[in-house]
Amino acid sequence: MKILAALSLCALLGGCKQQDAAALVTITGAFRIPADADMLSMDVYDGPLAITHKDWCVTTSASCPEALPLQPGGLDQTITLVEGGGDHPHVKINLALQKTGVLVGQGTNTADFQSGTTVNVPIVMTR
Amino acid sequence: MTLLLALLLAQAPTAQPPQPAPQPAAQPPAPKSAAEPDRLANARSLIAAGKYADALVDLQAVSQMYGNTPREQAEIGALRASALLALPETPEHKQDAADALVGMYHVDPEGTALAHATDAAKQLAQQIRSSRTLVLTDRIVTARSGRPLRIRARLAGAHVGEPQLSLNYSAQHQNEEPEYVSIPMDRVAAADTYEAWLRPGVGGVPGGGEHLLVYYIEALGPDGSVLDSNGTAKDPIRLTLSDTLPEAAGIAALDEGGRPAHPVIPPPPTPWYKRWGIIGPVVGVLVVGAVVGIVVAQPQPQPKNGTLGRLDLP
Repeated sequence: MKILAALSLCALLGGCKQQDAAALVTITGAFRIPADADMLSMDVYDGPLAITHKDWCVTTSASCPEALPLQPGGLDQTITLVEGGGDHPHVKINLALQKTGVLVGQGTNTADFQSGTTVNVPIVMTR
Repeated sequence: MTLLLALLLAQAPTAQPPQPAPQPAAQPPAPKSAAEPDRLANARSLIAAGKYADALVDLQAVSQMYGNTPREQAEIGALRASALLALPETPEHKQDAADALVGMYHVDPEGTALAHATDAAKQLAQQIRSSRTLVLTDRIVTARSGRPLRIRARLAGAHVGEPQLSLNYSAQHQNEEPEYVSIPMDRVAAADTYEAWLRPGVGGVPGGGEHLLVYYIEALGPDGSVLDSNGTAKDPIRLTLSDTLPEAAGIAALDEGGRPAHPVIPPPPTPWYKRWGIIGPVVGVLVVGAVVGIVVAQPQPQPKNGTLGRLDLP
């Protein structure tokens, strides 16, 4: 009986745990990968402060280890941003598409994190 | 000459009980010493050799020594009866032998000392056991002080009607004649068995500490006559009340609830680590700790990763 009560308490308390605040960034645009672009870059800002940067490349390398999947029909990807321990409730997301080092497209949006939920942040890449 | 001395000694016991030593305060007897010859063994040998008069001399000397154990007192009685019955038969010799055997039964209710006696003494002992009233009690020399004492006695032999047993006791003080308190003994379930309780601080019973308690048990007939007395006012049973003597710690025979043959050994105290006052909080802390640990160990729900993966903000 005591064990049952303890397990119930565990389940109750365990159920109260919430996920971190997150944002699901949906990236779309009329860009064929790799015909129109071969590299996607993301910069996240908290006000004027750049807090993170990441690249995805069709051809991975040591400087760009993350792969950008081929999408001949057009760009349609998602990235999950998680507000972990940092205190960044409001961020700005800048995306850039390059083709052989030349900027070919851009997109931007802001995200307001909410505790325990995942907010959707659509970004349409434009030339 | 020896025979004359023996005959003189054989007359004496009618006025003086044969085995128990007199009280040291009133008449200090000589204590035994290591250098002293074993006159009891010598008397035994003399009886075996048929030298009964010489044996009586040794037995008389031994009986006056201080510190004879009940077993020695019983053997003295048995040997004395053996020697007296082997002398030329006279009514006095037979009466003295009977008295010696009664005294033997008083300190040795089972008569084990008769193993050293002659056949004539054994025969007389059997006759006494079946023909006269005997007050028998297990004499214990030491008991715990400050606890209720149960004195038990039983009647053996022939008796007419319902005798009344009385316990006469006194907490003896040095150099003072004991003043006895007499209380009736109650009959218990066992056949012909009686008991009386002495409670600390009641009726002159010491409340604690080191004391000498003297007592004797009388059986009175319906007409008030004394049928038998185990111990007497002049020569009582001596019981040391002590809370320090090692023997006292192990004796529960006279304590409330105790039985003579089975000393009560109190159960060991519960170890501190088995007490609920300790176990309860410890188990409580362990349970709470386990619950907190399980809660902390629960995985936090994670948001679903995108097709390009997940990026944790610093």
